[in-house]
Amino acid sequence: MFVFKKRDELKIFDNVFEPVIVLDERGKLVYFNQNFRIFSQLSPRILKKAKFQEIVTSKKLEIQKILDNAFASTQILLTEEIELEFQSESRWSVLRGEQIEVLGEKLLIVYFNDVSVEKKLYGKYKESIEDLKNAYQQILQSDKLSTMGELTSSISHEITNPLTIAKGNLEMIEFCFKDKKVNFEEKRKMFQTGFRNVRDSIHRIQLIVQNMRDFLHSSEERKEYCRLESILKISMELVAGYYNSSGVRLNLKMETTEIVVLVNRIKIEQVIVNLLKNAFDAINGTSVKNGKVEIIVTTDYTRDMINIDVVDNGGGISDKDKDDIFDMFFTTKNIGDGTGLGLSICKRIMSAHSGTLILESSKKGETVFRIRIPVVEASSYSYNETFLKRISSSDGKKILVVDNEVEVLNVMNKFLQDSGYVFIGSTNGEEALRFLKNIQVDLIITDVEMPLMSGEEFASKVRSQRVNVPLYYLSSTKNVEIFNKNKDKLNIAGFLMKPFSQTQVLDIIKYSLGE
Amino acid sequence: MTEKAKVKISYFLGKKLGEELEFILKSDANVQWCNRGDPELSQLILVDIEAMTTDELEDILTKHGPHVLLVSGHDDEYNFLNYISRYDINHLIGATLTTVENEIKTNIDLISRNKGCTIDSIVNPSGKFYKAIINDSSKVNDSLDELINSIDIGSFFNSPSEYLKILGNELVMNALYGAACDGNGNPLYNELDRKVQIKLDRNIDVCIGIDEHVLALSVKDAFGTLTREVLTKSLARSFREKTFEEKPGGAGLGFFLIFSHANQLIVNIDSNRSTEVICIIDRNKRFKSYKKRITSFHFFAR
Amino acid sequence: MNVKMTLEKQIIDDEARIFISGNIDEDSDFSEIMELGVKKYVFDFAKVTMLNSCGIREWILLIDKLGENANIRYKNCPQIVIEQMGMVYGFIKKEARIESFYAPYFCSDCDEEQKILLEAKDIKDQKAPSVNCKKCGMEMEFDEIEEQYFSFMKNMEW
Repeated sequence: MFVFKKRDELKIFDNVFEPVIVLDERGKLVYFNQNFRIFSQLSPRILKKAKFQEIVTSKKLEIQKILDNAFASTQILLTEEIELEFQSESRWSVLRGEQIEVLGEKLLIVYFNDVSVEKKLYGKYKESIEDLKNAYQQILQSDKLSTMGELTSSISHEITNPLTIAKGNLEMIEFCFKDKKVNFEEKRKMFQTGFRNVRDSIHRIQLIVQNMRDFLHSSEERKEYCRLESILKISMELVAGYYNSSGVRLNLKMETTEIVVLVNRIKIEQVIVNLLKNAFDAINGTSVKNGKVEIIVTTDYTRDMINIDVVDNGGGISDKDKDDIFDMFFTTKNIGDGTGLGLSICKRIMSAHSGTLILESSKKGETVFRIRIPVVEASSYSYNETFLKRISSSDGKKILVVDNEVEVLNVMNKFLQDSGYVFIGSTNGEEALRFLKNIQVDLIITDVEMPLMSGEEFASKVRSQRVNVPLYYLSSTKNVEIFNKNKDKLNIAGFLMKPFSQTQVLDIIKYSLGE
Repeated sequence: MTEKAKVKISYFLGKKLGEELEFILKSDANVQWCNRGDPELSQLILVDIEAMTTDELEDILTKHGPHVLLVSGHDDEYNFLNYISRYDINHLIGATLTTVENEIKTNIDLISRNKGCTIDSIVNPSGKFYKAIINDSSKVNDSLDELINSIDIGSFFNSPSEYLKILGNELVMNALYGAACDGNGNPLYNELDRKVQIKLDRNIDVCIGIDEHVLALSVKDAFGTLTREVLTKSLARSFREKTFEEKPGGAGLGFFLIFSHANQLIVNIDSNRSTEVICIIDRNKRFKSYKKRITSFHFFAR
Repeated sequence: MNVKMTLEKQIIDDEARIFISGNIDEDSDFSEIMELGVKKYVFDFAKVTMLNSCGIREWILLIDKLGENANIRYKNCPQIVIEQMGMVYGFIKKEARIESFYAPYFCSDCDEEQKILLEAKDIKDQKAPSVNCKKCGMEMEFDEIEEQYFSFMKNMEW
């Protein structure tokens, strides 16, 4: 504790940059420096007579209580950032205080670290970030609207087909009612066929409209586990109209249809649709005969990436334009025929998915745009860890869940992310094992019945890889025998039976991780 | 015009109950009250067990059971096994001081007018009534839930709905499986596994009535086959053994649960026409008061 | 509203934890529990909405089938279930006991009832433990008849 022989010695704080005051046990200001006067915007006349708790208030802390605690203990007083309200002024500050002795009297010296300016700057910074985010969303939406505008003729063509079919079948049904020559049994069959066709046509129209609506309106940021085939097929359906009417063929080739990705489905559709539109434009209106666009999906296991190539046999991109095509507002179309935002936005979307969009190659007769996305395990790890770090500064425990059903992965992702864990999803044991070689996890939950590698086989390989973390089975009650068989042999910690709730999942995790 | 004849009621009351009922003993113009009057000459006999020796009680219950309104401060099990199942009494009133006066008045009125007790007799006309019809065993819980969830219960302990659910379930299941009989009076579905769905051609009427004093649940079938004997036999077995009955069909605990959870159990039988069972929960903010209340039992048969 | 009973189950080490939701009644099927093949069972009753007479029978039969040596715990029992357990024999037997349950307390300052989760181990001599109101901090009154409400504890061995 500092000891001063006389009060005059406190004047050494006159030249200190920080506001400083000295208080007696009643809170009366025994000393204050000039910077405190400026800080509080109160006149010396008031300060000389007042008690500290009378001139300042705080919504967050009780001033009197702070003083009482400070005098009661010899420990240094330190507060968090608090807003102090003086008569006409409000200031953010961190308080630091300690006891001193002056002429045998116990006093409290308080230093104020004024952070008002930093607070204001931070507030402005946050506002700017929000403005930028909003602007970005608007750009994305505007691109979507522009895309939708361009797709309108395609979509109206798409809807016309099923409408025509429905109309035709209804006319046939009407004819059946009127025609007395057709016998009852034949009529019944024709009605059945007719109604079925009408129903299917209406369903098709509903689907097209629904896809449009989702594409246009969904601004959900969250990623979910999706089957890649379904995303590609919906994208293809959105553009099918003008491909069909122009005779340009559109195909999909996938090594396997079981590829699952962790993405924002609507945004990836936005990318694919943009590329398909561009591919169509590259063929349409040129002299290319047998126009063809192919989507080819392959997996690059060495780099844990999925390649989605959009290949067209159009006129190609000139060397001059190749370097600029991903720049904002660059377009080869006439004024009014496109915003030039498409590819630059697509590139950003892929970047947000830890992926890339590049022009792989282009020559007359073949242009290849390549999208690369991380495989689902790597994707989920990076997505969830980033998400978690955004909300807390600590690293979360890593939970690997292996299940071929995307719905289960989505549900688990939600449960665990909301609770501060890093969730890593995988749809098959083989991929999960490769992933385990590079990343250490804290707990594994695996489905028992999976098509490519069963949960039992997976667990056995995990143990032979000397991964000894707690491992749980996830399945229906009918597989409890498998659990009982493997329990000791493979050190299976437990069995989570479907259906399950968030409470149960968290229960297991907390128990296993000793939380 | 002849004056309506007064009902003659002998009463045997202990000190506490006597004080509690002082007002009705003096005020009811339609009743001629006789303190320790001759039961032979009375239409009704109000008996407080505190006022009787064992022999006196035995004597009066044996000889005059059906005319007795017995007031008892013993617990439910004791009351049932020692009075209701042992003697031919139709009215046992739990000696809970806050409710006993009202209950005595209501029952004297019903008995003297030879009227059975329906839910309308219990709940004020200004109260609220909620109704449902059930005849399909697969729809019992959904129908009851819908009915109970639609009620505005008001100020009560937390929560009478849970008790209404179980009372409703037991009463309706009893009515569905136990009431229907063939032409010879043999129960049709009583021994059927309760998992087996049945659908009756006659409706079970469920009604919940609420006023400022009570919450009442009534379940009424259109068969009228329940008897006092069946009811008391089931209850007596449950009280003695306190476990389910090893038999086909129901578990044999339904009435036991009903008796234990209701403040008043009223059975109103119109033989071969209808049976109405009413459970009453007194309005109470305190759960303890609800639990402390000794269950009253009233049996009306025509 | 569908209140049919559902079971969520998990096995951790040698212990099966079963979370029961909905009505326990004549339609309740406990055969899945028999298939678990463990020696310890923890039943969580928190989401049980009703237990009728047929449900009581099905439950007691289940407990019998699990065997004399099965270690059984009941957790988070709602008040109405505790009352049923106190009234009917068969829920509590050797190696079957209640771990936690809800009990009614009344705060006269706030004039309202609260359901408080109690641990059976905190009940001494069938006396309700002292609990303070979550809202005002005053001590609340146990709003049941202690002797009746805690009667199930007589059958539990400690």
